Amino acid sequence: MSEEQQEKHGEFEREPVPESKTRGLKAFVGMYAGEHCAGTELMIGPLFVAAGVSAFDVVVGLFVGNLLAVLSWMFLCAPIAVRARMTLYYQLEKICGRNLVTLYNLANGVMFCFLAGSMITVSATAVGVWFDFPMPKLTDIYPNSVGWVLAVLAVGGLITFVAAWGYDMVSKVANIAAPWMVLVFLGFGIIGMRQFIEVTGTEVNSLSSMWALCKESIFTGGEPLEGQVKFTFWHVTFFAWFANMAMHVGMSDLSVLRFAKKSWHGVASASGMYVGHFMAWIAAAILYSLQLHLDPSNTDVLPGPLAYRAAGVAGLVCVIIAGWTTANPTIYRAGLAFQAIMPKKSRFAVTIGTGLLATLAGMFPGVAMKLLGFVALYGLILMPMGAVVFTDFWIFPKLGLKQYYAEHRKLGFNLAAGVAWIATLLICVALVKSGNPIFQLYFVALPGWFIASALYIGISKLTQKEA
Amino acid sequence: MKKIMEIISYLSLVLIVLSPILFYSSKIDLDMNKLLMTIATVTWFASALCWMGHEKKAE
Repeated sequence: MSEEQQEKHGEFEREPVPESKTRGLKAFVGMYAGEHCAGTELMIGPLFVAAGVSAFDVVVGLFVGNLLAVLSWMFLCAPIAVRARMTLYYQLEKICGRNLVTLYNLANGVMFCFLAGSMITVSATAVGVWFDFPMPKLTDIYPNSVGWVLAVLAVGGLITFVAAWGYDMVSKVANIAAPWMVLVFLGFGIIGMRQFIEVTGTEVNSLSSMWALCKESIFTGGEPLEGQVKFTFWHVTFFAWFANMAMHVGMSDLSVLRFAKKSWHGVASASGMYVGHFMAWIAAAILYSLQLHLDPSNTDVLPGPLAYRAAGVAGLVCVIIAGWTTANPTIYRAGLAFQAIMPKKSRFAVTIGTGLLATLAGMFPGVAMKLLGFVALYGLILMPMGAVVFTDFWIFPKLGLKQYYAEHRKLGFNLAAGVAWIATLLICVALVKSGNPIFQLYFVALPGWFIASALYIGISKLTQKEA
Repeated sequence: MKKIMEIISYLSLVLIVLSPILFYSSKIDLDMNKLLMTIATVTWFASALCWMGHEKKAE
């Protein structure tokens, strides 16, 4: 196919991106900044406070964790992306075979549905500001009122139909909203700081007095709230590092960075990390901490009311748009993953089905209220395939093993990759269940990556030798 | 016209940040801050829709 035809049929999905279609650093800076300033940031920041983080843990932990995430994009994902210039799915198909990729797509699609569900939950909390119905509590897992179910159904239904009919329109709104949304998040932080100064009567006239306010009133540390895991410096660092594990270590962003001119353009991810996963998380955390300071019994993590109290209608619009514009591409991506499994179904039908599944997930506040654990689990499930891609690309040639083995042997299911994926997950689950604190869900993906790589190499040696 | 809309958009973004800063320095109260942020939000979306996204087509 010509380049023009390739673009029409899905942007070089089954062949490397030609040099002429690569883009400079600037294109990725804006994309990452917009993508990582999402509705879920309004949940994650408050959940850090609920997890009892201290000021040092949250500020330094986020700085270090986000740096590690950027380095993972730069040195794990981008170098393969600019050399192979293929989508993750195409590369996985060559390594793993079509049947295994189908399983991967299923796992990916389900995780995307839950993620989109939590974004719908965030947007629905804004509806609760206008209509007086009981909203979910921090400890709620199941829907707690008819009003809540109807609010999620209305928001989720709307998002679903727009995702199926007007994806381009939402994409345009998302682009327009991105710079405004980043500044509203910044505003949340500034407003929250001022309100803290007022309610504590603290005088802040230097950086050191501001730090003292942070330590003594905003991020006080101590015990987590009921049902939450205690977060230390290491939890924050690893959480920030692995929050987008599926994208960098898990190699999802091969599909994005294959358009980069140079591998160091992976540094563009810093815009998303330090705007969305540093500034926005801290700003949202300040608002929640203020709520707890004013009424310690009010532990509800509800982005809608939080934003409304700080910035009025602008805050509410920010919550709705942040949830909507990020739930939309997530539903779309989940739909793509499911459509790969059911190619005969229309895009429209698959997107509607996917959106309704996400809406159903959004009705269960347990997903959003346990978002820290869910995000860690999401990365963990997709990570082993990233280790397989990395090992296949860099280590296999050095060991004399055949790269892209499924393509080479025309296999539908590469046993080595399949076992590496499933066995790694089982081992990681066993490690988490062991109760050893160094193998908590937030940390276990690190040894998991080495386990997946070792299994893939070991089993490939056996299977390729037999062949 | 497009240029004017662009300038209005950027000014509304300035207002989105300026308003919390004014609140921080006790120059305005919280209600005024909310009002200014809402005005800036409406202005941003109304004006940005007129020019954002059209540049790519021009390229």
